[in-house]
Amino acid sequence: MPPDNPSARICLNHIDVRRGAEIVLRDVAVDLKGRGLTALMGVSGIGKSTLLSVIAGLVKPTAGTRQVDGKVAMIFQDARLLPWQSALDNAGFGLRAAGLSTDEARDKARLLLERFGLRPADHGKRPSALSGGMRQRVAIARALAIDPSVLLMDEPFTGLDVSLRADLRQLARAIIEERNLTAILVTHDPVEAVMLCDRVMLLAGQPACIAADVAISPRSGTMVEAYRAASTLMRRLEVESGSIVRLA
Amino acid sequence: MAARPIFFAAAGVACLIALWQFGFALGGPFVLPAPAQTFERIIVLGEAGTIWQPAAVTSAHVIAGFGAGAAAGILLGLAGSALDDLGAALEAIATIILGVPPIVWVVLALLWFGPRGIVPAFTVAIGIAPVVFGAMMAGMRASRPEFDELALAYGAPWRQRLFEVRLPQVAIAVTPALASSLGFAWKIALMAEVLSGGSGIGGRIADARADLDTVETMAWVVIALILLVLTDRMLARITKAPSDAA
Repeated sequence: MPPDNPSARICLNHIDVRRGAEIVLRDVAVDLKGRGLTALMGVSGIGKSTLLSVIAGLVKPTAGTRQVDGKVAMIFQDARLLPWQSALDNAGFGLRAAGLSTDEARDKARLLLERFGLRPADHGKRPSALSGGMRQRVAIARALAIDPSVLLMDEPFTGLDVSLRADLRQLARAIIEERNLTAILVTHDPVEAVMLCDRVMLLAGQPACIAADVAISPRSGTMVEAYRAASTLMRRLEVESGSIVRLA
Repeated sequence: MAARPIFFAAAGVACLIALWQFGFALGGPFVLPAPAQTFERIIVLGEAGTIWQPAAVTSAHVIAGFGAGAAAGILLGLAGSALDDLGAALEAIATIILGVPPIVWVVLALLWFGPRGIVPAFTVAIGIAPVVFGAMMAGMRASRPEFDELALAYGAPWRQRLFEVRLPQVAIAVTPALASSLGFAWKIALMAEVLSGGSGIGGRIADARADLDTVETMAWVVIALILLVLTDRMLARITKAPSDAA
């Protein structure tokens, strides 16, 4: 197993987030260090994406402290590629933001796109000419191009077909191990969580807080085993949170 | 352009010329000169070298007025979208200016500047600036917030946010406004030249009309149309709109 990434740490203390009069998150505490992938689960609209945005620095909490050591990259659910740029320039977006010239960014992005299975002939294509899976690969390349130590993934595999989802899951897990990343994956799918993650946090309640936090071991067995493990995970989450877990 | 669209575009122009010929057959040469006569006159004017100077003058009026009006519309649109109160004030002004017919601006410009070259360019500029301004405001408002979030997530500096994220989105709204404004600019410039005289194509149309020379009038009209199509194609090439499908 590769050594932990010493520079990466996500530490949230007593985080509150309000949206107008509504309290979305209350007293959320998270402490993640070193390599590993943590699943963030919870019912739709509970505030998982908001919590990810707090970690990314996109949403300012109304109370509490946020400390994130290391460079953060985010992969969005909708790939979020700029429609007027080629796949290559989309992948180099973060590099240009970091001050690299267009040519330097293209050179680095080209290598990543090839690594993630995009043929050179596809590098010049606009997102509208790429399949859903290719777009998501470009989004992953864009995130990893900036050499982050923290990777935030907001349901990046939703809406993809089953085989493609399996490919991208494997790719994500391999990258996290290879690069020693501290990563968070927002997901509704307990099977995805047990197949990929080392830890699962459940966001629940009204307003939402971390209701359960369990360590697991990612497994690469059969789907039947994965479903069994997912069932066990759900029971553990229910015991720890003291309530029935709903994820849809 | 592919061969098939070119064929159908040529067929459309041929139909229009056939209708023109039909109009000539119905009304006679005093009402509508024959297409052949008109094209012959254009050739005569070309051989005599009398096309280029009026064409250059009118083109200069159109380009100057269009450039000034588009620049003013774009800059005011940027300022108005950045500052809400200024935007509300500018939108009210733009609505009022848009409501004033171009002919009124020609008359006012003749009173303000006299019968000089600035009248057509001024009328063009004031006619298209509110149109481009409105498109700019609409484009800025329609910008997708998720792309701003992306730029924020990657710490994009302001230049990258403006040139890679904001302006391409705005271009989707502004490009059609620029294209339609260019056609509008030619119409306004010709009208202003006809009313104010001068050495442009509009001035030549006014002279030909005064001489009741319908062939020469139509010849200048066709020359103006050819120039309009050429500049429209050039603008389309320069401002090729980006695809919006993600």
